[in-house]
Amino acid sequence: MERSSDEERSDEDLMAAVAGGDGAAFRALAQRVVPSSLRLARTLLRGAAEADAEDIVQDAMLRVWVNAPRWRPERPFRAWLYRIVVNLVANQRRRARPAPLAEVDEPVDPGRSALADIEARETDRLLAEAVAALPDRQASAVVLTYQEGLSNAEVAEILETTIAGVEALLVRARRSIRARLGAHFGAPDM
Amino acid sequence: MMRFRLWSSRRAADRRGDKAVDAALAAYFRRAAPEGAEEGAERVLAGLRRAPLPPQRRGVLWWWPSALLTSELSPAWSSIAALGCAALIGFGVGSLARVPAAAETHTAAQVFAGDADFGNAIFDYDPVHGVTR
Repeated sequence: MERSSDEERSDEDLMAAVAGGDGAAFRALAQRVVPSSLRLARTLLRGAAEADAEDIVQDAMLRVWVNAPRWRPERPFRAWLYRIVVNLVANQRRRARPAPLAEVDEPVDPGRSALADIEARETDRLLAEAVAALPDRQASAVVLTYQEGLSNAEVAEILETTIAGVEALLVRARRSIRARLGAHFGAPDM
Repeated sequence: MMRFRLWSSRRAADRRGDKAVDAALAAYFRRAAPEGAEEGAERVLAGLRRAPLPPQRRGVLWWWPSALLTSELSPAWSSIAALGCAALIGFGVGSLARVPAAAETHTAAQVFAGDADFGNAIFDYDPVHGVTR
C-alpha cells in the first residue's frame, strides 16, 4: 500500500485492513495513533517513568494487532485503542506505588510576562497535583475529556459506562479540584 | 426569603467555580505538552518495526463471541452459549443411548433400556433392573 493512500484512509479503513493481516496498514495506523496514545498513557500514569508509558503503548499496539480480527467495525477504532491503554495503565498503577506528586510534569507556556508566567506555573502545578490526586476513573474522565478532547459519549465507551456516568465522574472531579484549590476557584459546598 | 437568597447566591458561586475549574483544566491541558513526546513515540514505533508481529487470533473460538456481538446478540450471547451447550449434551447423550436393531438381538427389558431417554436414566431408580444374560 502506498504511503499517500494510507494517509487518506480513515482509522477504521486501516483497521479493517489490519484485521485482514495487513502489516503495512498496521504500521501506518501505528504512526498515526501512537503519539496520542503515548500522551494519554503518560498523563494517566501521572509522573511514572517514561519507559512505563512507552511499554504500555507498545503492548496496546501489539494487542490491537493480535486481536484485530475481533475488532467490530461499527465501533470507533480510537475508543477501542484508548480503552486498552486506560485498562493497561490501571493495571500498571495497581502494581506500582504512586509517584510522588512533585514528579508530576509541569507544563511550560512560553511567551508570557514574568509575573503571569509565575502565576500560570503555580496554577498549573496545583492543577497537576489535583488531577494526580483524583481516583483513577475520575482522572481518566478528566484526561480523556480535556486533553484528548473526546465527547462524553466517546469517554463513556472507553470507560465502559454511560454518558450520565461520565458526567457524574466529571462533576465529582471538578468538585475535588475545587475543594483542593479552594483559594483559586472558591471551595464548593459539599 | 433570606435563606433562598443565600442558597441561590451559593448556587451561582458554585456555577462560577465549576466554570472556572472547567476553563482552567482546558487551558492546563492545552499548555501541557510533555517534553520528549516525539522521541518517545519514535521509540515505540521503532520497537514495533523491529520485532516481528505475533500471529493474529483467528480461530473460531476467538472470533465467534465478536461475531455474536456484531449481530447485536450481546445481551443474550451467554444464554445462547448455555443453550448451545445444553443442546450439544442432549445430542451426545441421545446418540449414545441409541441401540440400532435392538429388538432383534436383545430381550424386551434391554430394548426398553436401550430406547430409554435421558429422563429415564435420571428418574428411574434402576432402568435395567432384572436383566440377566
